[in-house]
Amino acid sequence: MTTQDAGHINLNFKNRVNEALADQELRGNFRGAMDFLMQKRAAMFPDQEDLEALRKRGEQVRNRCLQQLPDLLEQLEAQCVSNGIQVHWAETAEQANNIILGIMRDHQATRMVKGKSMASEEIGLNHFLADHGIEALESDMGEYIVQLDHSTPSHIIMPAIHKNKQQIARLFHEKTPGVEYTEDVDKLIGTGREVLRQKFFEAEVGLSGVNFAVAETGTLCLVENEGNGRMSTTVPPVHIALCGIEKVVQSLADIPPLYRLLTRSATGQAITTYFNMISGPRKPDELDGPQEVHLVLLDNGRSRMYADKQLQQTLRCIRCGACMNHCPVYTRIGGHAYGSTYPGPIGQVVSPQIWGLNNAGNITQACSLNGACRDACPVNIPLPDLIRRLRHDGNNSTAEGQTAGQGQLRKPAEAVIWKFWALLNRSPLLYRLTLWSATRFRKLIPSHIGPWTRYRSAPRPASKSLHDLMKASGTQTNHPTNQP
Amino acid sequence: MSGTKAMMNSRHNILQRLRQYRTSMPAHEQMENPTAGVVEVENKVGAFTAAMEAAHGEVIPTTSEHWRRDLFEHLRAQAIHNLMIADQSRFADLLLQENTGIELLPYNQAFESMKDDLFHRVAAGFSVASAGIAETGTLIVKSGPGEPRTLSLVPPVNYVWLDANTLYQNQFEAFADKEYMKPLPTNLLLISGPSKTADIQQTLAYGAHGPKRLIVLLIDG
Ligand code: SF4
Repeated sequence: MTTQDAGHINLNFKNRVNEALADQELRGNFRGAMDFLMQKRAAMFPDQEDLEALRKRGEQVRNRCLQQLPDLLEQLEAQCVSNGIQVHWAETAEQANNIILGIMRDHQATRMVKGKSMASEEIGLNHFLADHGIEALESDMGEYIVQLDHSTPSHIIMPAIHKNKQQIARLFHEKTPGVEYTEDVDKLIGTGREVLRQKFFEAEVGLSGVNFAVAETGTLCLVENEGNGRMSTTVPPVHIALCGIEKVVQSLADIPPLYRLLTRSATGQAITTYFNMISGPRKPDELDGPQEVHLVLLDNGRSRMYADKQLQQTLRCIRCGACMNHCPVYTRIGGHAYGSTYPGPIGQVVSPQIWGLNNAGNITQACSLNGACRDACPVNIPLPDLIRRLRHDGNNSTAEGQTAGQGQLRKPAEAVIWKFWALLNRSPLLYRLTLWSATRFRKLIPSHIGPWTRYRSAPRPASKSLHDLMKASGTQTNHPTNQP
Repeated sequence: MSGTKAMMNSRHNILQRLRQYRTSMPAHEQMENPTAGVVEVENKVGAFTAAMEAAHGEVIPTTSEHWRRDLFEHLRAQAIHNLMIADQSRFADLLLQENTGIELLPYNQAFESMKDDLFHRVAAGFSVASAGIAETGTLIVKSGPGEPRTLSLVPPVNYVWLDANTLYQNQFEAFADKEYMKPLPTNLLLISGPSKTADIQQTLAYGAHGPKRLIVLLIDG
């Protein structure tokens, strides 16, 4: 998603939410999946004290690395270069796309196979390459299903979580020549495996994301279960790794606590099948591995997040997805309703900071501030506080932060109402008068008031206010002298 | 080239912005709990086996004397007709001279010439783990001239040799072992079971893109 089309996030947000809420099958799919993932995570953290200690450790490791971010990036670059990895820097999505296209062109390559990379979704790489005649094929099973369906991931860890078995069976049957309809998951995965093996075999370039980049050793780490990440980074002659600048860690010793938190929080696994650590292209005495490895370091708004004392906490994120799994709103509306590459609580925080509040600020409204995300986050990101902060910045052009589009979510009517509300509460006379009229004319309140009454009956003020009732019962109010 | 210049600018701009704002980052905190998450493992072989089997991996307990016999018996029993091994593997000479009725294929050329066989013909690959992690049932495989990484990835079955003496208790211990971790190979892999996915309605399926079966020859004695 490039900045130009990021406006989609704000446009029609309400419609998307309404559609999602009305789709019973979709709601069932998410409810089932989220319950499953929450249970699995809980089983991995039986002891609350141990969990808190580990979360604190994770938070501190990430903070230490972020504190040294510019130095670590330089160290990572130097170390990668000495390992034979070519390093590129991209300030924007557009630059990253062009760097990747340039590498493809240098090799006259037209076929790319991709391991899972949310950063590549963030920059809209597939569309960009398609416009330049290059096929970029997703190879993560979930991503592959989503691509076959001409859709986008609805979850950062489990991209096809919005679909059930029957829907996927139908999709495979319709979109893959010669494939019978079957709901047998092993057979469905077998079909994906066959199709994609051929693609790995033919691909000229493999693209992957990066979970951790180790500065001390110049190592790119990838976390996965399927083996498609290994395929994409091992079989094609050229490997391109796309990495957000915040992913860098200082040393190998930083990895175990973060990796432990990541897999347990994400899918409730003690460990993933593969932890793939790449420190360079094939050496002259080796028989396999890519001949070239490129690392593209992507900023795209991250250094702006870094500037703000509160919002910089966003950068601690290790993209585990636990916050969405535990979010009651996400569970009900699903990932697509947000309209952003990054849905759920972390999406509500990251998206406006990447694409601007004017383009993506509305999704901060899809939050009841219940705090479940903060309690689940393995690196203690205070997500509700950051969501509230962004809501505030969206309404205040004079806000301190650097987020684009500040103040642009301000609605004049809403502002007037709040002004009146403030006035009302400051003036006792006006307050009493309003209270008096609200109780007297309560029957005049219309029974249909917009979306509120679509699923609920209209509120009706009581005939007597609390003050009236207390007075009637003889209780004194507002007498400072009566207080103990 | 203007592209290079643009990139140099990007690099400069990004680093400059980060340096400018860095003061707003919380200062270096003293680690409150430097051992959080560390689980000590007493019975390393037992823990390794349990975790590997829980992940659908198979473990053949064996010894340095008998592992070849056990390997070939297993291949025959499972009707796996060929096995590929790197000709520079430390066990290549030992294995390639065996006459067992199993076809032994040497990985002796660059991947480009081996690719077709690896994808379409090889039934099982043979890898050597240089160490393991007990807590999580993990094999550590280091790429190198004798350890092509595609052998543990492309064929549908992967046999891995592991010496129980090399088991670390947990990942913390392994990653803190400077001698073992330096220098890092081009590709260091932690492998904890056969390839799998739960991307279709959270239903676990094995053999997503990598091996469908992972069989560990665990040398204990
Ligand atoms: S914000 Fe926390 S819980 Fe959400 S994806 Fe990031 S690390 Fe995971």
